[in-house]
Amino acid sequence: MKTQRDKIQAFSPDSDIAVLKISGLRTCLKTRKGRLYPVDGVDLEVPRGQIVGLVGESGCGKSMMANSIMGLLPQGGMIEEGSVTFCGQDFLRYSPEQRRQLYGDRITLIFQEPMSSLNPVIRVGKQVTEVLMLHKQMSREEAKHQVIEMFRSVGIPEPERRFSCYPHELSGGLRQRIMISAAMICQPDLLIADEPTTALDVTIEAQILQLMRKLQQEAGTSVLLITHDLGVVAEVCDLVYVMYAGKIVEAADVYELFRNPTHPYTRGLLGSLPNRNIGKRLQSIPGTVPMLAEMPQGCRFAPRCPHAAQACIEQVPAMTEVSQGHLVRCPLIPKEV
Amino acid sequence: MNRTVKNESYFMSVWNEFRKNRAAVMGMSILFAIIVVAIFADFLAPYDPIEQVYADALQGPSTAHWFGTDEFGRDIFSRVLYGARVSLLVGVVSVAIACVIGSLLGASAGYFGGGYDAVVMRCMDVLLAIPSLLLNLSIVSALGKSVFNMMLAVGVSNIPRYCRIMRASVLQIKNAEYVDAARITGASHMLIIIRHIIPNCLAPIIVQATLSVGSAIIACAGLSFLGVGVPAPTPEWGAMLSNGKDFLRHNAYITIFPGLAIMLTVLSLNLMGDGLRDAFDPKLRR
Repeated sequence: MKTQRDKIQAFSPDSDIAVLKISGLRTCLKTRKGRLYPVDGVDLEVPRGQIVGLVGESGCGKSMMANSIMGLLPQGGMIEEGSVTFCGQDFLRYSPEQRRQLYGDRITLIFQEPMSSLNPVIRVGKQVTEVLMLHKQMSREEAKHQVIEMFRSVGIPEPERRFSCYPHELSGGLRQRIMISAAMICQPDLLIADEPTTALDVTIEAQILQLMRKLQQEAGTSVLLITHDLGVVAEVCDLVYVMYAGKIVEAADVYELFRNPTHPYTRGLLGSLPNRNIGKRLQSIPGTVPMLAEMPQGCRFAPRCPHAAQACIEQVPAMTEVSQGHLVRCPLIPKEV
Repeated sequence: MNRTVKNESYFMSVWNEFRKNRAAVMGMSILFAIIVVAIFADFLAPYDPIEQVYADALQGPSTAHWFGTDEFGRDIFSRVLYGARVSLLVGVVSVAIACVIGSLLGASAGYFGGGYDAVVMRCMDVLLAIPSLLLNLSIVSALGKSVFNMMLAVGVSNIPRYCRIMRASVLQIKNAEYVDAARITGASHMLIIIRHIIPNCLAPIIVQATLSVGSAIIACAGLSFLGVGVPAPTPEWGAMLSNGKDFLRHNAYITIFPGLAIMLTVLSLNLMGDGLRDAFDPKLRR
């Protein structure tokens, strides 16, 4: 076990190797309706030290993908094919015990709901201290000291006193700061943030994003930020993946994506942002994400796409490169949409 | 500095709620008094509880013997005071046995689920299917007659209750986000169950425990009454009831006083248990 961990550690300073590399990930849910695939062939790469956004509507498989990596799939869920490489090591080959060693230390996750992700009967300081003591050899006193320092750096006022508060005594923003300090206390290589600001109001959201950016730069952590909010993506991300119905439909760096959105779905998402259409009615994408059991043949976005042609219904589109590092999955590309 | 945030723990708020309930506080006071009596029986009892004075046999209540004497001339008041020791001990220990074993079985069954859950719960069904008196009698007669075996028997027959309560709470709690959050910090199953799940499921268990100390005392009294409980000269409320049954017509006080003692203890525990249940339930809070 020890040697396995050392091996990963030896790999990690190498900046050429992506911290997280997912290829062809297919997650299967066994239900009464048969096998469903909420994540269906996802390729994704999180380079070292960058913030990667994963954008999509509710129900398009974003969280399911995070849960596949973190081993939090519901009963009947399993990874059917594909590979997940963490710092150059095949993550899926690890035993549950080996993965457990990585969780909380090298890979961490922040949930959407800061209200319910803290244990209501344990003091918050203690909850963070326990994470630290689980992975690092140190005395309780040292750990407490370090946690208070962490609380201070995430902007919790009066950290000594908050240390012995129960979760119900803190506001949503403070609780999310506590969650962030628990996730960052071991200085992980990869932080997966699953809609970390959705439950917070807008002013707190901006502060939390700024904080994540700051901590990420200090610790050199790579972040996979899962969100449905393109505003958040524009604010903090370096690279963006757009996900629709279990597949990545567009991938580009953030400037390229906002300057030159190519997939009709991405355009639809950008069109539905309020500030771009002053004086005009807000556009929306008609319809909803298709049910998992009723995935359309061919391009999955075709039923909602304003440009859908015969080719879209017939063939399953592959990713095509429209410019350096800008990939799109649309049958009508490179033809003009 | 902002001082509005109070560091009031969950259990402090439950205690504040509990204090408002007068009946529950009364129950707790009575129980406290009984515990004090049990501890200081040596100083409070006017007579030796097992000393037999045949000259004083079967006397009614008087100033010399407040609760009268039994057929061997033993002072019933002293025996009731000493009896509190055995009865409370028996009640608390048997509930503790049931509570610890039942909770651990129930928590693990609820957490792991699947085949393990099915096996554990079917075993509990088997235990439930046997009438508890019959089960107690067979356990005590198989293991031999002693106070500890009696406590064990009463404890074992109560395991299914705790197991089922705990399993039900765990099923509810185990899908909470903070349990997932603990899992992704790399906590082991054992740590998750003991540190994160069980403390959140304690409320119904605490209530059940206080409520069933009373019934455990009665179950032990029943066993003593049937003659498989506490061995003869030791003062125990159930055994005293059993001894007095032959004298019910003319010397009813021999059974009345230990009976009252059992009633008072069970009443105080039930009042306290009710109060705790209300205090733990936020929906009933005013």
